[in-house]
Amino acid sequence: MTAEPLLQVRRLSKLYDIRQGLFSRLVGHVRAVDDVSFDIGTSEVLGLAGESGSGKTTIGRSVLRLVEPTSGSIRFEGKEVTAFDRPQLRDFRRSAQIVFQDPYASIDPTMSVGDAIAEPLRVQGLASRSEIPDRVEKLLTDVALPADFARRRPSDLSGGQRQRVVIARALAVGPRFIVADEPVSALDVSIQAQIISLLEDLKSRLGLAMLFISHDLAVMEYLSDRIAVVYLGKLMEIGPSRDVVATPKHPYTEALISAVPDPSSRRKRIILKGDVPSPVSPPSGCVFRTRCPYALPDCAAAVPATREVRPGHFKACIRDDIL
Amino acid sequence: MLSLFTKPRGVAGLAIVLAVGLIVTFAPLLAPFDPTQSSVFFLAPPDAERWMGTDDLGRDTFSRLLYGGRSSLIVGMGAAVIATLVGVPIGLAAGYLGGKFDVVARQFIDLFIALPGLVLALIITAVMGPTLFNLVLVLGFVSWPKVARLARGQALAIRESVFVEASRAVGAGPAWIIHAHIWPNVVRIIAAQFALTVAYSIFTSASLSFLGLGVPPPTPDWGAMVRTGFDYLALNPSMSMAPSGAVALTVFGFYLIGTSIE
Repeated sequence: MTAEPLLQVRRLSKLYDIRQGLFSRLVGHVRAVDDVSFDIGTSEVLGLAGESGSGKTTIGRSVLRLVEPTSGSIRFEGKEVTAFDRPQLRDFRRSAQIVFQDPYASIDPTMSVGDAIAEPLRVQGLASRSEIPDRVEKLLTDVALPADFARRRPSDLSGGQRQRVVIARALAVGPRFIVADEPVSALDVSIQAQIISLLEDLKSRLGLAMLFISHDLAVMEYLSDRIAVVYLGKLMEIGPSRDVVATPKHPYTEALISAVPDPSSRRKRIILKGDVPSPVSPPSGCVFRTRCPYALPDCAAAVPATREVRPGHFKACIRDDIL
Repeated sequence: MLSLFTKPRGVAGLAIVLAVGLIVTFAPLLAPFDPTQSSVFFLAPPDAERWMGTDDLGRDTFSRLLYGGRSSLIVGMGAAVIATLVGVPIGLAAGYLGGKFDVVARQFIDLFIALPGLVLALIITAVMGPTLFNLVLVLGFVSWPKVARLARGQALAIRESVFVEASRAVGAGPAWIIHAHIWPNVVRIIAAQFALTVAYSIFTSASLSFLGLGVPPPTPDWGAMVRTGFDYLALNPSMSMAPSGAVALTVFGFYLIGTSIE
């Protein structure tokens, strides 16, 4: 890598304290995110895949400091995000935005659609009072909604229309990077495709970089340049989308991909046994070994290092003889 | 808020409260007699001239009824204003700020909610003396914890909502979030609680008056009228039935308003 990436995340961890009893004694930690590193280049879309509870949402929020990371480094355009003070963080929010999963919960029901879209402009002081109606109209057009929607109430809108409003809000500040936290999983399948193609359009038109969080690998392969797979807060595999989906190198990725319905291939489905272990006391060594069909005694010995198995394709697994 | 004007119960409540308000405001124009002027016609039954008869001192019950609502409405509204002014800021701050302030505020609120309002009001009024101003203070004092608890719960729920996180994600600070998100989302339920507090305070002030701790005589007051008329219930029922009906109707009106707001 010669050029510095837009976003560089190194050894990111987020622990949640578990407190108990009268004096809130610290009894343990939930390891939501554990030692995760990745880069996102300008105009690049990185897909972040994993089951619910794998920490992918926490990664997305930590990167924007909507939750405070416990340790690790986040550099955005060369500046250390974890060291930002309040005014710097406010400026950072003009460059980096988020689209939430549930479009029904992420718009204040007491605001009109126009006010909701104008909120970032007002908070950041990006437009004068007289400019706001024009800016809102333009943002509505950008997400393919009619301009007269500004006067509507959020309750008048469908889920897909609401998600377009949420995207318009995120675009209002003119960001270079967006965290899309499962932006389509709360929507009907017929609407999902529309929102995905809107995101794809914005990516190519505005040159947006994206962290696209999802558990749907089929959607992710379509939209992402690279895919990262997380399990129990740890990065299992990261590489170019096509490679990761066509020739996964990590047993967990292989299992995830085999779960995607695909009528054209007669791939065997790999059914993982048991449940995801508790993130309070994760297994020693490789966290996936308790459910891995290829696990060896050695897997419990040490946390597997992330190794490059092909150019740009990394995995955290000690076995090279399986995939 | 619109539901107040569209739901039948909201419209009915509003009509009752407006009617009572107008009647007590224009009592001097409507009342046929001076409410404090006694006459020789004591304990007279209703007739064409004195629609509800007279009381034990020969005062016209109908005229006293029209004037008697003034103290009830003043006490009810005044107490609700005080309860809201004290309860809402404490509740919102406790819910939004959380932490130690919330722990202390919550203990305080629970302590006062655990004490029965009427008994507390009875003790304080007995100590401070029953004037109109003291009644407003006392009833405001016993009502604020309920308002605070409600405001706290709402602030807490809204603080954790995704749209507040979305607001933080675009760079909004606490002042903006309280002004643009928390307040617009709690104002309806606080308005509802305001109306219910008025109803509760009118009822409690009438109870205090009945127990002899209301507005001192000769000022006409519904609660006190019920008490006096109680002794002559068999002889002249309208003397206590009319003011009890007036209290019930007014309380019902505010209750309808309170429950018709979401």
